[in-house]
Amino acid sequence: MTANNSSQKQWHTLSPLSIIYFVIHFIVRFVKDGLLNMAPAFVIFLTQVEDKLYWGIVAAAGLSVLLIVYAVLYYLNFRYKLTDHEVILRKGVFKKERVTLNFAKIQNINLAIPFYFQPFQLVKCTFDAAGSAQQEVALPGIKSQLAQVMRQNVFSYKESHTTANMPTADDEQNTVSEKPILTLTNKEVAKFGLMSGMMFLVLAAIAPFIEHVVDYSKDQFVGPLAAFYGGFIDSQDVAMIVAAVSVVAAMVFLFVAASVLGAFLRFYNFELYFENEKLKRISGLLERHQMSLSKSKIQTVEIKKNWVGMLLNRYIVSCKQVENGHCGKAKKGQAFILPVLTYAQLMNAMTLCWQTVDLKRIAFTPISGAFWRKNWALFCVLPSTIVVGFVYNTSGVFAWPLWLAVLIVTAFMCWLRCKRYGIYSDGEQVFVRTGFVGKTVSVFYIHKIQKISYTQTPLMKRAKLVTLTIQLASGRVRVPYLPEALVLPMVDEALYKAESSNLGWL
Amino acid sequence: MFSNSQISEQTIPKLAQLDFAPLDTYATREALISTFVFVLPISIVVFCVAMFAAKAPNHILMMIGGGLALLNTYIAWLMHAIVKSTGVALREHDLVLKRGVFWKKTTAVPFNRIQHIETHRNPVERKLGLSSIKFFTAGGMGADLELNGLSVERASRMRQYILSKEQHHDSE
Repeated sequence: MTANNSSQKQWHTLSPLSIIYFVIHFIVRFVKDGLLNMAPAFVIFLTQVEDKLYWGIVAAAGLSVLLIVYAVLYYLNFRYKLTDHEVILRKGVFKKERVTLNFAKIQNINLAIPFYFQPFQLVKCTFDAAGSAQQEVALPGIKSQLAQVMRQNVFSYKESHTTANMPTADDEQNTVSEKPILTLTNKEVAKFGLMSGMMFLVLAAIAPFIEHVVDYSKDQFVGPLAAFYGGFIDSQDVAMIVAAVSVVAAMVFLFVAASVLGAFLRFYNFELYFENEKLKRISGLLERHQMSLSKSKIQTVEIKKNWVGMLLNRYIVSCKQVENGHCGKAKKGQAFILPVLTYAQLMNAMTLCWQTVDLKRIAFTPISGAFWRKNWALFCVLPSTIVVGFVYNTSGVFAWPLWLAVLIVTAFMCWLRCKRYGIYSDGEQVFVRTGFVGKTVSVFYIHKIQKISYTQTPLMKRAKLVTLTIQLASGRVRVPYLPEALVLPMVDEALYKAESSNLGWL
Repeated sequence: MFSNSQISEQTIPKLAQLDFAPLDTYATREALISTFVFVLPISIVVFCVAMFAAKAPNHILMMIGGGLALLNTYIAWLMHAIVKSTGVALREHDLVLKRGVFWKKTTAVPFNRIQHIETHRNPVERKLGLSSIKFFTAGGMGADLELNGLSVERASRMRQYILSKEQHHDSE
């Protein structure tokens, strides 16, 4: 330990500015975890409450006061200390918590600098115990210099207690001075905003209130706009249509802008580093967030090119870690996302985080066409026939042109979905292709399977087809209607590899 | 010393050629009792509601009664068929389960992927001397493999065998 050995054995407090961090942190946690639970209350508020603006302001003000009081109490109760071999944390307002993290368990020490910490040389220091069930320790609002000293002490301890064949964590130290292997321009980050589908999430969120939104828009925007356009357009009907189109266009623009803003908040000034078999990403507008991932911890790499990505010719790569909460040996990890990559960048990224592979040359085995025919017959032809029959029976109208159009469109959709499915295995890694309009290719090592199963119905058995399901620590992969002759040897080989390989799955 | 001898594809054990052992004799009885503890009261309540609360005419009541009787018979047949179709195979390195009447599913879990094992005994199982085992891997949120209708002794033996294999793997 260094000169301030004695002071490190005392309890320390954070900077009062950490209250801002706690406020933002609790808001983010509320949005992520609590918003869905609050949905019924929102529905009641929007549908039942008369004076929405007044009560909305009252509720927002009440919640804000509660949040600030809680953040201040959290700050006052937050204490940490470093001994010569562990970091200890005391926190909590109603539920007191004490976290002890041994230096030997620390994998990474990540430093993030939110914009409100920057003028005061403060940082958020996170001791990451990835790969074990230990909790991580985050210290928001400590002096940058102190964080560096703590980091150095931890690495010195690890160095002196690490045997030669164990991985060390000190590869973190030099990466900031290294040149990034990938950076993204603002234009590319904006493209990710379009690809991310966040606007559809917003649309899905407002779906239950769509009637209110439409009524409110009609009263507040379409009516006044139609009156305004009436000054230039003679026909009142045409003015109404133009006003409605303007409002819809403005809403679409707002959704797109929200998606792009979300992408900037997350991936602004994106920098990717690779050193000592570790990927490290630094990005973010308000908070420079740093995320590291060991190559060996990647369970699955998912390469996505959705319909917007097809138009822009860009790919999104997600490196998935263990996703499971009840796994004793592993801690749940976030997906490490590399957004908006060109094909050349994708190839480089694959070489870094996986192995060299040319996705365009993979000879995927397609699934049987019986899959789309079954789906079409069962989920499209049968229900539409019942509906058409019911309408004919009750009103005497036989809407055959509409029925025919529905059948043709759904047949094409079912065929397209079937066409996207494909699987390829070289005996070491497995590539699975899925999708609808766009495509997603998932690749994983066959020895990392957790469970494998295949399913057959009597009709599938007659056609010698099976549905293959592979459970990985990062999620489940399912490919329907594959040839039996392909799947059965693949299952045997996967089990053989999982059971005989000396390579770990974690 | 490092060795890298070639493995013939023909020597890799084949899942499709396994002999599966059936469940215990009382497994069907347990499945039927556990299911009809819920299904039968619901059927009776539906019939009573139609008869007393909705005051349905006799021919409708007969249709509802007939439909419920058919449904209960079908469920009984299905439970019986599911138990009969279930088979377990223990190998040196994995556990294989086949199950299903219409959707026949074969699932294999390597021992070296099992995180923990849970043993359960509900009141019916306790009465019939049966036990259930759940196997958890790092994949999925619930149990990856669940075996019901095993005798207590067989479940215990199976659990011990798998745990010993796990320990053997961990020590390697």
